[in-house]
Amino acid sequence: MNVVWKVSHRGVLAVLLGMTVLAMTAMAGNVTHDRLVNSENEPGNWINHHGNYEAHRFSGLTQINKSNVADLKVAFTWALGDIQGGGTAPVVFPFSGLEGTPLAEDGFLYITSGWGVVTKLDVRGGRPVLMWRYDPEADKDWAPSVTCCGINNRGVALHGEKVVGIVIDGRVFALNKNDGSLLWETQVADPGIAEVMTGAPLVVKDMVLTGMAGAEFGVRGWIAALDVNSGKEIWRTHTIPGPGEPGHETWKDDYGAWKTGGGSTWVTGSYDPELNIIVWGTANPGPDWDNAYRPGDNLWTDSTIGLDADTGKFLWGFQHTPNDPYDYDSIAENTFVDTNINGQYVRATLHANRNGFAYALDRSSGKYIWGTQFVKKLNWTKGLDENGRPASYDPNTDIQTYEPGTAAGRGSVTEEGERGAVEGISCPAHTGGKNWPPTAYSPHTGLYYIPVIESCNKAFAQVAPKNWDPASREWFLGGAPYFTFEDPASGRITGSVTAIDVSTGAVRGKWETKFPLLGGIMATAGGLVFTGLADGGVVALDADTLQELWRFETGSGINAPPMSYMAGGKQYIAILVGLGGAWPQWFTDSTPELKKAVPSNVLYVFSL
Amino acid sequence: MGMRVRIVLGIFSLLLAVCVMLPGVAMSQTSTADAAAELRKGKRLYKRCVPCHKQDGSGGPSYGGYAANLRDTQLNHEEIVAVITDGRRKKGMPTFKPILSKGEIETVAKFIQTQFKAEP
Ligand code: HEC
Repeated sequence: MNVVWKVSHRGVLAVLLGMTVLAMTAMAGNVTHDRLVNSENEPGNWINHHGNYEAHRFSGLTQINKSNVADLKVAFTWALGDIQGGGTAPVVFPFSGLEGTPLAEDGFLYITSGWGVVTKLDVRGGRPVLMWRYDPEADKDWAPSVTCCGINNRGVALHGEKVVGIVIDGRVFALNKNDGSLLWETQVADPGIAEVMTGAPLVVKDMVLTGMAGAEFGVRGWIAALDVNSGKEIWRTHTIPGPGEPGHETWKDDYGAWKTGGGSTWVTGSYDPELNIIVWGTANPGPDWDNAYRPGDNLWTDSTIGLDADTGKFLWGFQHTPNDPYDYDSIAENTFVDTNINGQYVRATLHANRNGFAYALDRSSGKYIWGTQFVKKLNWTKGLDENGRPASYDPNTDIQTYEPGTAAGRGSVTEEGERGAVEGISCPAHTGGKNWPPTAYSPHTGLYYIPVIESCNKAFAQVAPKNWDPASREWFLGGAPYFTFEDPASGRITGSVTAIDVSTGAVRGKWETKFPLLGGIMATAGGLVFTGLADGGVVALDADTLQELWRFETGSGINAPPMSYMAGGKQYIAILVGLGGAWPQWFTDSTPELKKAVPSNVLYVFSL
Repeated sequence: MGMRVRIVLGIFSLLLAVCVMLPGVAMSQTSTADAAAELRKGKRLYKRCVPCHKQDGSGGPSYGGYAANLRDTQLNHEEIVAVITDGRRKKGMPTFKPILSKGEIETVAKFIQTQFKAEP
């Protein structure tokens, strides 16, 4: 794959595109490594979770463009059902929602619901026909009880003639793409110790990679690779280094906080075939709010890490929020862009963090290039220093407080279980900044589009019990966050689409929304940016000016990213509609109108 | 809306109010069936409280705040109704005024009292 070429010689690309589309019938049905690497060559398909391995979430299709998007109409919808809730104690979810990105290949769609049910639709004729539906039959109590943020599933992966999926209860499985029959299934994560799965798997060569969730319950995060043909595990790399491994010294307690220190991996990573590296984000350290429980920087939580794709060997890491007292995961996707930044050619990886900053790193080394505040409200640090560290980080202490008043803390309290003496008000809130709903990058505009959550929350710490056992399957938070729209200190939570110029790191524009932006983003070669809103709107913006060009109201809430595909010579835009996840459960009091949202799990598909 | 329609509607809602009030009178000799229905309704409404207060009302820390233990609340019925209605703005207890009717708040308050609150 020649990335420079892809970005700079668009004319040549178009010719090659045409040729490849012709050749596609021959390739159809067999998703090879080459096809996944060069997915730009088949813009009518969407065969990688994040659009391509570089996580651009960019569609090369141009049929729907600025000049005609105003005529976009619903082509069809498909009700997925699977709305039932789950969990007993400590967590109960009254209903589940949709967070997935559908995959499309040759006029077939592969869609998941929160419970991991996979639906294959034949949409070649412009109307949906059910091919098969596979239900992995997740237990509705066991895993959801240790799931912080909803009964979620963000999609499947394709390999050869197979569809690879995950279940919230920690299973990874492969289906025959043609009839939906089960080929293999492996239990990879263990809900017995609070490990669950929500992120779409990532196929790399003949492996399927998966992360896990559970950093609110005392897990130690990892990424695992399985043989995609057998389901047998090939490697597993923990995000928190064990004794003797570099970085272990950043856990300075003497009771093994690293063993239950979080750093889960619940959003799909990116893959660079030339460097043969996987770049993945890691979640918060645990316990979330009692950072005195885990003195030290707590590597590699809240970090972007680079791993050797074949062996899982740790290559480099960059930590965004050391000794985090705010629950600022670095979980979000990592977007590869090869371009000139400040006059120098770099292979960059971009990332928009919960902590309110977007970062560009050199993805061969993890070296910092730029950092930009993309939220309006940010109070926890006075910017970043020249190495990308929070400027308010204090190298002379093991327990960070950052800017006074922003971090909750123990204060003078020492007794296990007692409420800490110091409350904090931080902006962004623990929701982020920007949460998992993915960004998009357009090679045409050179802009990086971030779905933003403008937020603040209050939090208090609580002295967490030592020698935590994740098998207790209880919250391991060391405190709690709280907010309500009526409290001036936290207030309402709103959002925006914020565009950043990758070549400089400067914010180029904002399109503001009444509610937090919980749908992800897709950019297109038609000069458009699509997204879904928490109160049900699907919108298209001008990719250059962020001006709204089209809107459709679904009457529900959206918590999933749009994608695009071609069938029968026609371009379609698809998005899953059904607000579940963390928002209705924990955060609606900052967005009171959303309390009335009725759950609905429906696929919407639009065309001209 | 025309004048006539409005008058007809007005009379209709008066009648409706009377009808709605009648069962209230009958409540004094509540049948077990009514009580069971009321309990079911309370349980359904309480689902909105479960994320923070837990299924058994014990509360504690969660991703949504540190909720009070409703099993040993010292509040009386009116006070419970007031907390549910107005919330405690600065402590993380949401207001339910915008989403639950007065009747629903009564029902869920009673549910807490009968199911969780330790009787003296
Ligand atoms: C977002 C979390 C959250 C939700 C949802 C929630 N509560 Fe609360 N609730 C709290 C918190 C936090 C407190 C404690 C406030 C304080 O410290 O004074 C509380 C306190 C209370 C109290 C006062 C108890 C006492 O003894 O002081 C009552 C009664 C109550 N809640 C009822 C309810 C009911 C009924 C519902 C559902 C309709 C509900 N709550 C939903 C967080 C929540």
